[in-house]
Amino acid sequence: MKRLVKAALPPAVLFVIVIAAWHYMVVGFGIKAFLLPKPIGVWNAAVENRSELLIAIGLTAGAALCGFVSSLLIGSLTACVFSQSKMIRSSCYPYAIFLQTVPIVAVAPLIVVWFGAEFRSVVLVSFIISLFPIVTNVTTGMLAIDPDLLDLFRLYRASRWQLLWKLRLPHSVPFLVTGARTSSGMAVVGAIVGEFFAGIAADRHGLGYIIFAAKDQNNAKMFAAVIASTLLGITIFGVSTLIGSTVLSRWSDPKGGGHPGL
Amino acid sequence: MPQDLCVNAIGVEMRFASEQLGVRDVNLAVRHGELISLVGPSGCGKSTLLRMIAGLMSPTGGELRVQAGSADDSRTAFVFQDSNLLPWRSVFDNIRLPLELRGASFAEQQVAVESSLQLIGLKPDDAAKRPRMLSGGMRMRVSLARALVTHPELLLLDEPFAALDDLLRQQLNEELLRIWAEQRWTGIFVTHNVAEAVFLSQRVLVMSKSPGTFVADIAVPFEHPRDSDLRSTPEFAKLTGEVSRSLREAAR
Repeated sequence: MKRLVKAALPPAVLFVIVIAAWHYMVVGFGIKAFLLPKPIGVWNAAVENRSELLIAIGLTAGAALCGFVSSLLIGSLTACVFSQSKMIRSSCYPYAIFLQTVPIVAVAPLIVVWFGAEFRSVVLVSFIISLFPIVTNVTTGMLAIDPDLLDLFRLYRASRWQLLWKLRLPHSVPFLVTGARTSSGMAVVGAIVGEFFAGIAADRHGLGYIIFAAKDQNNAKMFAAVIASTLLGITIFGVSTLIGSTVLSRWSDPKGGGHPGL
Repeated sequence: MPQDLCVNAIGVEMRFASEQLGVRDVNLAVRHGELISLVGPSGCGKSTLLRMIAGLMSPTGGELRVQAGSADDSRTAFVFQDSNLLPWRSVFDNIRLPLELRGASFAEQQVAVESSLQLIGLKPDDAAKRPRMLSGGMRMRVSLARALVTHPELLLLDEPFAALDDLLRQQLNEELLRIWAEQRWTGIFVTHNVAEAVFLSQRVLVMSKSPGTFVADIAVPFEHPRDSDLRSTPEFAKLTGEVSRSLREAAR
């Protein structure tokens, strides 16, 4: 409890200072509300639209979680396949990098055209953007194995399947945790970008659509949605980090794990 | 290959992909139940030779025969310099790994692990611990227990105690010798510690610097069982002196 207070106090103080600075800057320079609303205006907008915002948070969180979890599963599976042959790796890796470098904002409208302005398109955008860190990290984890350990398994004539299941897969868990930490934040970004383009038709919509739709008329509401999406990102990142470190402390050896992320 | 030999190497050569010679013209005959040591300057190819005997590498020349178990039931075990344990597995699960990979039933594994734990001097409640909770000496014991769990006919040890302090090394030497006297597997022990080599083995083979080949084969005539008192006898000092001299010549 004492540690929690100690950890929470400095950022809380900073928060108060920033809010106060924001307020006095708007008042002092006479900034128009459509450019930058006062903090209290954002709060009021949040309270006024609370049911719409709560539904939006739920939808966006749902899409981000679906995207994140599928990237964990499919990313790990892809890494399993990659670990099996150098030929598969060298032929598929360029496309995996392509997946990473293509700007998601440019692809998202295309996905909406193909799969409709629906929840599944949002999930897909979130999935695509969070997939890459999982694939690279888990693949690295499956390949960066101490040669002596590989020799041990060879000595006892382990099959390819045993090698994957009993050595490569467990060995890659700390790497999966590192990848998941990056991916969890990206999944939220992906969900919001997806909603920019896919949220239009639905009667219930996510945070991305609120930001997109409110930017011209209701500036305070947009700010409330931006802050809500930030909080959502932090929450998902925090929870996945917590789960990750719990898994790690049970799984891996801090002294002999040989993993720089620990 | 003569019936009484476990390992027979004739003119074995190892040339790496870089065309560099690892070992050259290695002749080695190890009888069943014999415990020998290989010493030599670092980088001379001792470990390479051990890996070839284990079947982890194939020689690029000469003839190497190993008779331990059959083709589909290899009875060779290897103890690495690092304890080489899986950090996510408990001591129990680490020790049973070789049996598990071989497809032994769980009941069979359990019995074998328990006797192996006992043999190596680990308490039953150590079985649930993770490797990270153990000291370096304990980890090496677990590593030995894992090698012995299959009842090997040939045990290859690649500087297993190099990272331990001297007292612990001496204790483990004595335990290893006790287990060998009980089970009489064939043992090949690679080390750079001359006293350890003399204390443990019936013969010490000295390898030249890279590319390695054997330059001396020194018999160690002390009776078994040997105990720690042997180390303070003049005969022991004389023999370690002789091996050291030969090693110095080999390194030149």
